[in-house]
Amino acid sequence: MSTGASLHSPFVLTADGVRRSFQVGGGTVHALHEVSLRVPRGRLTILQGPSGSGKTTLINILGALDYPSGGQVEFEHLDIVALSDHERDELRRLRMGFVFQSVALIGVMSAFENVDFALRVAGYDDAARERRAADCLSLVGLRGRMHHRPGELSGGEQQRVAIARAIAHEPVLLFADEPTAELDTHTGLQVMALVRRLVQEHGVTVVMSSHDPYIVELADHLVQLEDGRLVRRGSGEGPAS
Amino acid sequence: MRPSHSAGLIVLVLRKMASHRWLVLALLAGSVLSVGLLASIPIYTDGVLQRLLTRDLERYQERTGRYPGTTAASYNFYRLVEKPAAKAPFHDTLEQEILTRLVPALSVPVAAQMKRITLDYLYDVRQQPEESRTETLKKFSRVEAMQHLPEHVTLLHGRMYDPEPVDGVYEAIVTSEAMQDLELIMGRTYLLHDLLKEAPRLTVKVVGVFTKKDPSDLYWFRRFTSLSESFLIDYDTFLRDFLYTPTRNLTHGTWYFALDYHRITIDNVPNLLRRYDEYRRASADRRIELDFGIAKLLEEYNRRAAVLKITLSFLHVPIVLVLAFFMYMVSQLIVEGDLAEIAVLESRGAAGNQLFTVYLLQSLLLAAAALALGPPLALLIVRFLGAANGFLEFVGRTTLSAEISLRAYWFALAGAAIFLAATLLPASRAARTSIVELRGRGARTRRYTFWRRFYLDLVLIAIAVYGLIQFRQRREIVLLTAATGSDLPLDPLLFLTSVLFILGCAMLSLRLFPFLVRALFRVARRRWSPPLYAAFIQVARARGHEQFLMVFLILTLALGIYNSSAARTVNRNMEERIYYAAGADLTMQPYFPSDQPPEGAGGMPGEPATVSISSPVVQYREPPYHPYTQLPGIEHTTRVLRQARAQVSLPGNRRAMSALMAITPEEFGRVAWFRSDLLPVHWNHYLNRMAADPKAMLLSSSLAEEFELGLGDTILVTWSSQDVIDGVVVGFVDHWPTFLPVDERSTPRLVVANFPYVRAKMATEPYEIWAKRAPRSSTAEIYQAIEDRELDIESMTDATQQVVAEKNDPLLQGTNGVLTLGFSVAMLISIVGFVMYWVLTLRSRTLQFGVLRAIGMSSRRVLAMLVVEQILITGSAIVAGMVIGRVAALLFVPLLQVIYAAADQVPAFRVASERGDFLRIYAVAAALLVLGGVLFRALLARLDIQQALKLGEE
Repeated sequence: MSTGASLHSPFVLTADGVRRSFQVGGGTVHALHEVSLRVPRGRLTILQGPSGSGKTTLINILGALDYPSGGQVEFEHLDIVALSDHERDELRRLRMGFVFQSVALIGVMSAFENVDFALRVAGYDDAARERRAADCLSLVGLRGRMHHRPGELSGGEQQRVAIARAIAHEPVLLFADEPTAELDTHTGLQVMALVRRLVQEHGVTVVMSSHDPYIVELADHLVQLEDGRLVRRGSGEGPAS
Repeated sequence: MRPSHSAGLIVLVLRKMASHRWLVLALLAGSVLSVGLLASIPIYTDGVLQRLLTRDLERYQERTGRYPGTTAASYNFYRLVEKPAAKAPFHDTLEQEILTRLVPALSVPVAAQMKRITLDYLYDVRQQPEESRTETLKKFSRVEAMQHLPEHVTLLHGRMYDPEPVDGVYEAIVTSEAMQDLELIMGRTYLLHDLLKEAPRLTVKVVGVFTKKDPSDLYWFRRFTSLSESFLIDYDTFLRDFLYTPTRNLTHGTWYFALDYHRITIDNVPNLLRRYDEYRRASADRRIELDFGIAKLLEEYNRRAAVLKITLSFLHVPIVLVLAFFMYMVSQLIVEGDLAEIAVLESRGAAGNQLFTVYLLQSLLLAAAALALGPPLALLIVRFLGAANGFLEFVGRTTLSAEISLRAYWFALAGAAIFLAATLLPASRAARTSIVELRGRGARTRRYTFWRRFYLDLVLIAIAVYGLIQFRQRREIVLLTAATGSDLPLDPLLFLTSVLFILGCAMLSLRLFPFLVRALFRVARRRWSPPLYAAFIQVARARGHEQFLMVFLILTLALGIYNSSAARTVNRNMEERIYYAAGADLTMQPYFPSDQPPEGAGGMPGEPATVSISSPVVQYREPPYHPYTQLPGIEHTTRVLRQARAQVSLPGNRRAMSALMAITPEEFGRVAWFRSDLLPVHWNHYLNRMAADPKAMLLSSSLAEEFELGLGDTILVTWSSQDVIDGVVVGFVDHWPTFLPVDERSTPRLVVANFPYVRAKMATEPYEIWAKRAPRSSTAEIYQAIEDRELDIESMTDATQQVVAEKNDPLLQGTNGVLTLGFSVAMLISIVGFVMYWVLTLRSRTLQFGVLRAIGMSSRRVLAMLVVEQILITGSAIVAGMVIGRVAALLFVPLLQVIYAAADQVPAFRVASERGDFLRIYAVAAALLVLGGVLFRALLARLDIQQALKLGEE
């Protein structure tokens, strides 16, 4: 526990009985069944489960990218399901950050510009933007390569830029959907070290998904999913540091 | 290749095609279109040429009254008079040759044929019938025989001849003209002497008078009046007694053939001419005369055909170019879609040429489909072209005769070849790409396209500018020397030069475009909102397919504007020339009864050769003018007196001959056609000055310069034996309705006077009535009214009809058709290219949109970003296209006048454009922008952020 972020509540986000079903062909596929969870502030929460267990669906719902078919999601006491599109956009723009499995940087922008662009979207002014972008890139260890375009960076470097972009606007909550899935083990661990540092040293709250048992070890809070159902809710067995 | 292997290959190709089905469909459309277009060139050209040929042949018939396919070979047996025995064998050989060799070699079906054989220079001796004196009279006549004559005649009197002579008397039938001219009496026997004393005399008896059974029978090759000195006897008897029997009579044989001119096609014209020429040369030695009336016409036609073929082919260049670009682009897109796969296959050891084989097979499959579908499409295109009347104007005209000829298939093959080249170029490059290079693609260092590396854009512009300078010099020469130009509405080389210019400029603007965007970006990026920022960065850095889209748009719009300007200028100048020369919509010369004998009476005032003052004054009676003013479909009329040769007395006792025109200024201004830019100030000023003073006169500048006249000078004018009228010079003009200031032989001069003044001073003279037609009045209505009201008009010039006739000129028509087609195809391709570009771009950027939405950009802002991109790409391409088109029009269209003779350049050539054309072009551009907007909205409305993000995981 660091920082005094728990002014309101120890939980940044709570989900209650979240269901999600898709119409596929003639039938209905239930991706999530009555999932309830709480995301502790300043901790690394990892959603663990095999592919198809509903991790991405759950992250998308928690991150206001998708709507649940039923249930409630509260972010900082705000019922995000009930918000308008515009308010949800604003929520994501200002208070959440996203890292995706498919790095998803903008190819025509340099590392710096990618971060800078997120800050523009979040409404930072000129001077603050430049300083902040540079700081974030230093934080992920890419200060020296910040004028390179994504195509000129390695997979791990790209993902680190994506993390810099996701945290640049100082979000309350960072979502990371399988950020290491496309990286080799070594690079994946490097990225995870970064994530841990963000949690440890900067008090960022992180929700990430992974199916990798080694990475799962690093969770402060583990949520296991299987076939869209919560299997086990572990808590607090922090990393062996 | 083992069978299983090749079967596998085909499956691979088919699977590949299925995976890119939309692109493959676009490619198929492109290939069908290019094959169809190319195949349409010969079909259309042939159709136009056939129309031209038929029209020429029909005109020939109208002009000469001869059946256009008439061919005749004749031989004078006079030469054989000393060797009468040689006559028969020579005749037989000749006939054999003509019937079995010459005629079949012409390879045009014969509609009718006739042989005529004559004994010339016969005469009979008679007493002068009415005079009692014993003076004798020699009446010259001929005895003739025409093969199959009895089948083609009707007997008016008497009976048909009996073939066999009785007691040496041959029975003959004659025409009624011969009855009259030879003063023959039915049933009478005439003893005919031959001019050569040694020849035997023969006796003929007139037994019948005949005429043509069917006046339109082609059998009657000769004018009927040419039989007015002929006794016609039986053909076989003639041969037996005068040819096979060696007599010393002068004989003459002619073989006539009517080639079915409807079957003279553009394909057999060259052969026809060649055979005719061969035979003519061969027979010249043997004194055989060949007569082929339309030979000259066909030669002239052949020359024009060659020119037309070249012109029309050249006019197709830009369309083919745009199509090739299009197919290249689509093929590139397909290859890029496969690129990762290709590289992987290559790294696994697949040889480059194996990959190329896959694309080759795909292209060949498409080419085969195109070859099947293209030619029928060509027929449709030809129908479309045949209906074009002006640029983007269509009329329901009789359809062109269109059939898919062998030449069309050759062109179709060429189209397929262009298709293969355009599609295989990207494939061959891709086949050489390795995975290492592919990785490098993501990096900033992108290879420039070949035209950038070799500065092809600058090279093209340089070539075009060189051509421009050459053409400018040529125009100077044409203008200075009044040399006659060609009869092309559009010089093909000039057109090609302008196309190169447009292409070069389009490429140059593509080269400059990124710099411009980047410069703008650099200046303003700090303060920009995220959508603007993202759009600019995207456009400035993504150097991809937007270049193709921009090329299409620039080329389409530039060509559209240039083509419309060129076509309008050519058409407009043609019309203006006609209207200027005619003076008004309708100019009529009413009949003025006079005291002169009918032949000379009311003669055209334009051509009185009687200048001498002493010639007696002809008294004319003026027909009523009022009925003309009341004609339906006529808005205004005015009376115009024109005198081609008036004598002008100038200060200082000098005299000059000049044309005179007397007008009623106010009416004249309303009726006459005049272009306001031809005089330094609006011509109403001149008319006002005329109206202010009855004695006012306008002089041509030529008169003013020659005789150093100034305003206010007094001159005297008279002609024929008219009184002298005096006038005051109130202005000088270079141009005036109908007045041609340039003439190769002499300096044209003109005096314009007031009609009421001239009329009051002079004896009545025939004047013309000029009329302005009401808008949308029909020609038939006016003509009918003239007939109904029994207006006695000697001659009439209808400028509107002349324009219609000119517009039917196949060359002009073809030019308009192809320019319109080019624009339509380019437009179509632009739209398809536009949709394809944006659909593909949007699809390939779905992940990016998802990310933007995920980081909190609202869909409105994403839409704003796309709209800005669209404005940058489509908008700047549209602006560039318009600017380039305008510049090309300003530079090149004035040069179109090199094709006219200087004398035809009145009024001076002027670049014309029509607002309607631009509106249409702008409308298409605007429609594209709107279409883009709709596309984006539809896409973003459907964009599912989480689905979009998932895309990246695949």
